[in-house]
Amino acid sequence: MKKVLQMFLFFWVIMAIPSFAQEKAVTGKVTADDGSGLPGVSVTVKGTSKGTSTDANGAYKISVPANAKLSFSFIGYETKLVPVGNNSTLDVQMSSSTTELSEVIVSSGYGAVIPKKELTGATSNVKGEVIENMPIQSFDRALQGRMSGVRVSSNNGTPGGAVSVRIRGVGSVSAGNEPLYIVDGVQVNTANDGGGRVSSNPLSFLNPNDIESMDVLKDAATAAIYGAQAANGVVLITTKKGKAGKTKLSFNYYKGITEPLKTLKMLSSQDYIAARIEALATNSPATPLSTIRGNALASIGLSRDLSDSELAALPSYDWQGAVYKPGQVDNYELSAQGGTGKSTFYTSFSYNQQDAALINIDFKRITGRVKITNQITSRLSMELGLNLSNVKQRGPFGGSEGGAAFGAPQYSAPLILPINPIYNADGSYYGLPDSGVVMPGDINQNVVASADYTKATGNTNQAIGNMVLLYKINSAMFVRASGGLDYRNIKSIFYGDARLSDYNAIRGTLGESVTDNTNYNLNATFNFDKTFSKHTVGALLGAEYRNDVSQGTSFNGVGFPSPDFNTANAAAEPSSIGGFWTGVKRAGLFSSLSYDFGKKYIVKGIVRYDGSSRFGENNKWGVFPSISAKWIISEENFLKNSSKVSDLGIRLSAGSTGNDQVGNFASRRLYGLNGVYQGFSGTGPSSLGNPNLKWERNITYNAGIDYGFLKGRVKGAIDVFQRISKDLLLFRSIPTTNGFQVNNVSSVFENIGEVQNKGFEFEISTINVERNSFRWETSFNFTGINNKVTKLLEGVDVLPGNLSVRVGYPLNTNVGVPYIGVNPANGRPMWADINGEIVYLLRAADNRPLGHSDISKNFGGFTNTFTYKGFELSAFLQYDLGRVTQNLMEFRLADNGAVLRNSLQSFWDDRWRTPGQITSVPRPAENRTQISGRVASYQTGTRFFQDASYARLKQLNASYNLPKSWLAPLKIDKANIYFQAINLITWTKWTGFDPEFVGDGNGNGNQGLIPTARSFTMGIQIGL
Amino acid sequence: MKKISKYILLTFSIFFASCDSILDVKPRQSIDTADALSTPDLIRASVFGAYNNLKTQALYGCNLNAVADALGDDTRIINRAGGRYVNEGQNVINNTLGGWAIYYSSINQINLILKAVPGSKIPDAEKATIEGEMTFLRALLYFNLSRIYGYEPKAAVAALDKGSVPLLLDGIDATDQVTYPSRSKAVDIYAQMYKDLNTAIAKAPTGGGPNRATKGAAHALLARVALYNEDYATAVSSATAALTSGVGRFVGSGELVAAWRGNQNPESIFEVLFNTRQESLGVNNALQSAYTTIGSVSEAAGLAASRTTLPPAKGWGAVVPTAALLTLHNTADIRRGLYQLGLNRSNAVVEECTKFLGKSGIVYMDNVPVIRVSEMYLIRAEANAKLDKLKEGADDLNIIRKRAGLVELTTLTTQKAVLDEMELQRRLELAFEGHRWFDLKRWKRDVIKTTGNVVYGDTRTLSPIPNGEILANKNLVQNAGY
Repeated sequence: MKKVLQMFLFFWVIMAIPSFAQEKAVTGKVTADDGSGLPGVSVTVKGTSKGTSTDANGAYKISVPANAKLSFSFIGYETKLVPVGNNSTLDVQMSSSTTELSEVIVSSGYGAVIPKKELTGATSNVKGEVIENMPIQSFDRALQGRMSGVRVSSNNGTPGGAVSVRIRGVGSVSAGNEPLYIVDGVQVNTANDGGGRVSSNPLSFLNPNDIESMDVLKDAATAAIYGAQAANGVVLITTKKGKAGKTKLSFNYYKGITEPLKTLKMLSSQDYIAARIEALATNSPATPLSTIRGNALASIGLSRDLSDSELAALPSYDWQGAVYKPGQVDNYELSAQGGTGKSTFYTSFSYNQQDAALINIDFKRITGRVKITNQITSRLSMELGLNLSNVKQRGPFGGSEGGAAFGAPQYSAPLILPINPIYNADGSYYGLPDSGVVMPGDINQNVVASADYTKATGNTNQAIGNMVLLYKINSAMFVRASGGLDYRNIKSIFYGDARLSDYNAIRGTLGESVTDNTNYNLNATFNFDKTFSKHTVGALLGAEYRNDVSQGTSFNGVGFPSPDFNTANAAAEPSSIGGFWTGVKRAGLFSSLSYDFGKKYIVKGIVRYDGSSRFGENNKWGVFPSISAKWIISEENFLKNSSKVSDLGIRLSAGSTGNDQVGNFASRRLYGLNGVYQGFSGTGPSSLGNPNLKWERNITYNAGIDYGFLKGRVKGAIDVFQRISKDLLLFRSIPTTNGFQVNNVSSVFENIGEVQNKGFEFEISTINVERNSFRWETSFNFTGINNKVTKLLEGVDVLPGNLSVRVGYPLNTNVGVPYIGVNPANGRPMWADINGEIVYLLRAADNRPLGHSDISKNFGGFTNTFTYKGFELSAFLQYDLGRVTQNLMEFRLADNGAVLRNSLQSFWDDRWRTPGQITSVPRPAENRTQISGRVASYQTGTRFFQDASYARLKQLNASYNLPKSWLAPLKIDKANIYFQAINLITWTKWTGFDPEFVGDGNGNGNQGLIPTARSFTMGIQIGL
Repeated sequence: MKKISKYILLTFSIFFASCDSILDVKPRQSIDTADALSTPDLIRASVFGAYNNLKTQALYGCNLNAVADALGDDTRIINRAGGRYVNEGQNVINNTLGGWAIYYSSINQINLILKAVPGSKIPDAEKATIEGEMTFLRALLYFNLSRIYGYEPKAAVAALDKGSVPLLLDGIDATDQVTYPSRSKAVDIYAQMYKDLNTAIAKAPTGGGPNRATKGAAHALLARVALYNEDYATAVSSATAALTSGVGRFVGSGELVAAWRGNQNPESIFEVLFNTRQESLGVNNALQSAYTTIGSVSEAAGLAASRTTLPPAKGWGAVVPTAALLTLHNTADIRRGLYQLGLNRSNAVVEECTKFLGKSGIVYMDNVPVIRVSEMYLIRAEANAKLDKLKEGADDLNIIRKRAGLVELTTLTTQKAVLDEMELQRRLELAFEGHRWFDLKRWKRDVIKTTGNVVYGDTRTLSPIPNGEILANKNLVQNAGY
């Protein structure tokens, strides 16, 4: 620590030496093509971060050093670079860009914005307008398919539900893989905590339409500035800011519907009974078929003597149709923005409501937001942002993301025996416990009633605020101080209604929890930027502190007088109380230094010294350096005036970042609470700890090319990277005989593993046609990632307790005993043991990699946009390839009468029937096995692996800008009507609801996850 | 300029002056291991924690009764709980008793307490009490662990015997203390149980039972351990000592069924207590739910009186008596009153065992008797018969018979007759208390079931050691067949 501090001191003493030249003031007016003043144009002194923007009339004033060049940029206009020379007034006329889109400015952390061209690292960027009005509840979903290297998948189909974002592959086994999200400088808490009753997304606090831009820092060249939190990449969100000028009001409204992507084709009552008879007959070949028929009918509550015609007349009730129902989407927004020369503001208010395509699951959000900038004095300026949000979600019966509970409609609807009606003749729910009617079948709960009666809600109130003060010391230096608070209060409620069988015996139950999370971060940076003729030197020194504390209380009570009473005081007695407290502190000191020669050669170095309370006493602090360089070839004389090549640059970077996403107390030796006995709370040893625990370290190498041809009509980037995740935190299995266990494996967290991600990324956007107001643009991105575990514990090739982690294979490698179909002679399921021999029973020793993994190999997106005058049509296709995973929902649907649950029609149609028949579906047998104990169940193991690759027409968007001539008499500035369709078509071999699901992480795979919806929305946006 | 730089440097220096202290975070719902047993209160809390471990589902919470009985031959499985207990009932490989890790974490917790107590500030008398109780619990844990994963010393199938379980007696609370033990011999495990139980007999309190360990409980467990060890003399003497210890009362015929209707069974010598509603394991994991669909004592009484309207089923009622077990009851047998028709779940209404009915007054929650007085008579009868003391054996069996409303037998004059009657009374008396499966195992007998037999020498008699454990510890040998 001392050494590092000394290094910093030395560095800064040197930096303090330069002297400073005289500055002078320049004023002027910036006009558009038509001569009118252009407000909000960014005026910067080239090569510095010094800048201002034009006021409502297009006027600006800026003080510049001698020989400075001023850069004028504005979206939709070509950027102009004008030498100041001896002028003290400088008027500029901007010309609107035709082919070349305006220069992309990207955030690179701690307030810095850099033209993308000068960036030495690999980043991807999406502008807010691209995702505008998508009916999504959190911006992470909007990233899906838009950027190379960024893989986004929903965990389930809950609106506003959890999403997984993986930047440049999966690098960690036990620590988190989520990137660091920073919204206007606030490091937001990404703990996925909705109180456990709803699938919540920590990023749903922000209305995506308030986003100006999203920048993803993918390699260490830029991300290393965030040190120990940056290993999984950094997502920087910049929200909309007001522009000086007349106050503009904008109203936006859209409305639409959601509908299920698909429902499953299940057996009719008659086919189910036939399956049941066949399954029973398999196990009792000696019993006369008539007896078996009677037994089968009796087992599902029908008369043994039901005649064939009575059987044929049995109705089949459509439970799926009763639970997967279309829902509503509603969104209202009002925003205002404007400002004077010294202050700007942006404020918005929004309401968003979306239903899942499943009854009684929804999302409602209200946000209010304000962002203010003010030039306090000529040297001091500030920016203030505040986002308030309230999110209310109704969740499912069962787990937060759905789940395999019998009472959960999305799980049980296909499984309930179709002979069961949903409603009684009087319209009340059939089969409720107090009615005395017992629904035949394993799933004997009326799930429509359980969805209707259960109250599972999450209510999150969140405030995110930040304030930035910027003080200009002189033209080359400024100090920036920033503070951010992310406060959340989450209340979750679950009321289990006594009318439902699960809660009948206890006369209803209520569980409530309140969680309070306070997360704040403070940072200060000192910035230096100076150009000496062709040399530009930039430097930054900063310090940061982050404190994140969560605490909560919860209780459960039982015994409610009637379902009308569902507050805590109505409970006859409490059944449990709970509470928790956890916290983490982080501190860091960081610095970057860049040098650029003539805007052609750029070199940048970053070092961050970071500490976290999560790590062991011997390893609390770590150093994360990176170095990167760029050669902008297009600035060389031989290309500078080329009409074909407009941009060409080569980037190289190497560096190191850390991953600290482990439990707050993972390194500690602890005794925890251990139940109650005789009315006394007990304790017990809970963690062995590891004083040497430290971060996982990612070493990334990146080489990239930025290109632009034909004045930018074709442009993009190509990157190759290698991301080596070292010192992976793995549970080193120690025998449980030592008395400690985590996830049934006794273990100590140690830094022992290594995983490599090698990848290729390609982004291209082209303007294919631009003629007579017609324009056709295409953008495409592709990512190929090769993931491989390269090191585990010494001498161990397979991670104990997790067979899917093995040296030489990708993470999440699928392991098992391969299913090889059905023995044609007798219809029994067969597996191949380790020697390739046919076996009927599975042994752990026969488990082996199956040659595929649950990690996508390729993914990306493809967008085509057509504009003609005011019309715009765009189609966005997203794809994800090479992932194989178990369709565990299907595993539940393959019983073929083995148990009292319904099955998929396809399994029944393809079942083994006669000797010699070749099929993959075994002969139906009671309890899924023909000879109990001797032959494994036909649902065991690897039968349900499926290719989850898919391509999806994710978004179709049509809009029309009403002509100004119509609007002018109404004093309307702008009006746009639009139509959007989401998840319109999916191409996949996956037979379940949705191939995108990654499972709930509890080993239940996709069983009972809430399915994704398709949605159609129409809206209008009016600007005054 | 220089001034400014100085200020900036100063600011950053102060910020990081005490680098490590700015990162201090003290957990609040846990305590550092170094302090965890530093005061008498903390040690006492850990003792409660050690008792609490017995309540887990894998142990006495449910499985030591329900899974053990599902594996045995006196139950059949009604599949109306989504397949719950079906595989155990069919003795499908790998579907058996387990809990390895929980046993060892409980043992380690006890070892740590035993290590901390001598140097603590606890009064000497209480020190002895804690040592006595903890050694009893350790013996109980090793007893179950060794019978699940290994053979009894004198009942091993030689070709399949890979040893008993590893013996750990030193508490582990830091990574540098981690060990990689191999399996100990069954005789060594048994020797340690004898030793621990003798310590418990010496140090455990006389009173305070049956929810806490007592001298009587230690005698009783030693009787059972000795019986499993075929050390019949010790079994007899210990059973006698237990019967005279004053813990547990042998109830009369009139109270026999009623003893199973209150939360505390008066016969219990050691019984795991479930006290407050939050200790309930819930419908999916509770013992009551495994055995019966009936929700409460009063509901059972109501159903016995009238079945005209059936209330909704409360539990799964998956593990139910075989018809054969029910017919083993003589018409006069009072114990037949512990079975009655249950409620309708999945269109099955069958006779269910009502020993666990939510007797605590809270559904899905019952105290679980671990050792009862009547077992002592049965142990003594078996041991005496083996020692050829047929009269003594017959006398004890007649005590059990008479209490059950049956006539006393005078025909118990051969060793076979005594042992046969002993077996019958054991089945009837201790049904649904997790004994039968282990009895057949120690008697080297086959488990005959309609769903397929598990003959003596079948590898399914022993449970597989968790595979992760085998991978983590190269010194550990897996049981045969896994």
